[in-house]
Amino acid sequence: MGLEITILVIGLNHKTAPVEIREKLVFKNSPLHPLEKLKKEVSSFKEGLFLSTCNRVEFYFILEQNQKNRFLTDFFSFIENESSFKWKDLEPHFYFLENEKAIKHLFEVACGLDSLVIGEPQILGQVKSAYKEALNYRTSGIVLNRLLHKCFSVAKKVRTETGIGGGAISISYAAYRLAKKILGSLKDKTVLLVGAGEMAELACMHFVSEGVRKVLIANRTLSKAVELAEKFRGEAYSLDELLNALIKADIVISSTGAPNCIITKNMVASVLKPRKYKPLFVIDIAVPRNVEPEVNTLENVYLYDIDDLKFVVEKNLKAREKEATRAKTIIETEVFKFQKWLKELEFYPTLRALSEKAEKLRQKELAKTFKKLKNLSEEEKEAIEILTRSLIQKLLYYPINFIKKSYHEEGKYAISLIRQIYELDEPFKELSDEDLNILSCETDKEVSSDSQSDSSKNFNSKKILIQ
Amino acid sequence: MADLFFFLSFCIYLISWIGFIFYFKTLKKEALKYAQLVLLVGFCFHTLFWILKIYQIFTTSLLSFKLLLNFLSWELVFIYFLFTISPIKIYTSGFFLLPLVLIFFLLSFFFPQEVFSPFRPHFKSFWFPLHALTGLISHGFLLFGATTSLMYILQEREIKKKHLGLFFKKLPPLEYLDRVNEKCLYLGFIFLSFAMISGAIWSELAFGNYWRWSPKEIITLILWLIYAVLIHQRILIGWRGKKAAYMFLLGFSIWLISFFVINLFSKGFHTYGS
Repeated sequence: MGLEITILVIGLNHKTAPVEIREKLVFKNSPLHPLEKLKKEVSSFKEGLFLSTCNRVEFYFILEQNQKNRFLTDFFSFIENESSFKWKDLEPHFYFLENEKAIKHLFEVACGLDSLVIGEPQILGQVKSAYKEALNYRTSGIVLNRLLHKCFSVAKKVRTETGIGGGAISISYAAYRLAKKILGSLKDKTVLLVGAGEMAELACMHFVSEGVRKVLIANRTLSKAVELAEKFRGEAYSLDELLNALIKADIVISSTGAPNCIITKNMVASVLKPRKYKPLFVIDIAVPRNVEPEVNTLENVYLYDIDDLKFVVEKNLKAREKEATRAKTIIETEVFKFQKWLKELEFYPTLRALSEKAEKLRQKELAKTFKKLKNLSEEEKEAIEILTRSLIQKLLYYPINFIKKSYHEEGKYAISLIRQIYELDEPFKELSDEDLNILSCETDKEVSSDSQSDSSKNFNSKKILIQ
Repeated sequence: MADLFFFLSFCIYLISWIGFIFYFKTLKKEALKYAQLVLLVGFCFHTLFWILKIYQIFTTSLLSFKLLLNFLSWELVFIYFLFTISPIKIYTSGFFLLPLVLIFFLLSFFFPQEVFSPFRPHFKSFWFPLHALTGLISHGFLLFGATTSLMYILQEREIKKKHLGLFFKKLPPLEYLDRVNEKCLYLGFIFLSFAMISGAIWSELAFGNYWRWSPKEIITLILWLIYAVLIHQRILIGWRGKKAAYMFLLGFSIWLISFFVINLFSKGFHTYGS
């Protein structure tokens, strides 16, 4: 019979389990990889994959259908041993998904739809390395290989066809994107940090990694500014020299703990002329704010405070959620395609058995014929060879087509019917002449009916003639 | 033959614009590639059309107003490619520019044939084609600058008001748009100056005086002054961005008056009015 397999996902993620449980199940401490252990202790699965990230722990298994119950009990005891939790306590946190749902789940995970931050790109890399490990421990077979490759192509498709990865979703990245929109290339630009705190440093990182030309640091205590300036190879200023620094800067990141505004509208207005009205992008991530909101009204000066940036991020997240529904329709069709392939996998062995049997019969008959006809030239032999082959191909077309077509309506019935008709599950046996007698009777009947119809045709034509 | 090329290039430009709309919507690189490729094919046909036309103009000595419009659309596409190969990447400008190109095409198609320049013998001088050509080139840069200025204003408004919407996502950075404006400003000014100088010399040769205060001359002078002020302010004070973009749009509206109203409805030796 065909392959009857189940695709099973057993896992937990940030939505179903708190971190106390997730951290116990990452299997980081043990020297053996969980797949290796599973192979030793729970042998009743055909293929397996283990995916562990900070937000999820998931096992993917391919099982034979009748092995499922045995496998589950084995697996539960394996988890109990590994995690020091009782299975009863763990069970409510786990989700079990089978077949269609399991495939859909994997696709959604790989596309980042199931992630804490929708559409984050790291998860695809994590799935890839999980697959590599499965290959390493030889727990991946025909079904998982196909499933994972499909999953990578779906993730790529979703990424290019929807905006799931679009828009900045962290404050510092949103600020960076805005700066690029205003200033174009950042390669020849200067960043001014006002306040040498950790926040400013973090926010500055994006700009530095993108290769801004220079970093200026202005701080109340000069020594700290100098310290940070050394780190970024920049210049240090005290707050009294802020005006000078403002003249040189293109991007200002302000995050001091000052209770009032350090950068006022008048200050910025006074540097506009010496700056020759070059665009200035001011990012104020301090609370309370460090920059007067009216600064935004000045020409070619753009001020974004922390709430503005948060608003941008939230809007992007909403846009991603909207894109997620589009991604889901793509996933849906791909799941359908994969299931179709699985079904083909189920009837594939029958097709192979059928054509193998036909080939065996053909070879035997050919051998017989060639024994009798000894004086055949090579060309003639080849012609007979081709004749028999095409005869078999054409005869086999009907049963194969029957299986492929009627599969969805009549289910496994078609396969078992074909297997019975062609005796595929019985040992191969030569057909004797007596066996073939049935055939000759039937053909006689057919011939007679044919001749009947012939005569009736003649009769009809005579009638026509008379008329 | 020329009509065929005319028709072909119009259709191909239209297809290319559809490609640019698609690029504007999706920002897919392939869409841009194909839109540009199609545009290039259309441009080749358009160039062939002009080669045939120039021959015709020289043999018949007739220059109709509708051809000027057509030349402007050819020039805009040419300038688009000029900026495409320059390091400043402002690809989405095709989306805004091609409607202008297509409108000029349609206008040049529907304009009555009768409106043409009074080609008297003294037009056959070296200075006249120079005058016309440099004038048209300066118009091209003005129109292109006006397009990018419009893009600048649309995007700048979104950033300033903190409503990051459609244009913020699709348009090139403000800085790039401003740099294109700057280039268009300088080039437009240079060619306009050339046009005025060559026009004055030709006027002296043909009529005996350099400057005749016709409406066309006056409005061109105003345009030239706007350019001059803009360049002066830009270099010395640093007028850029929004202010420069609005000035460009002002220049564009003055050009509209000069090109369509004065050219067609005022009477004078310079214009097409009857």
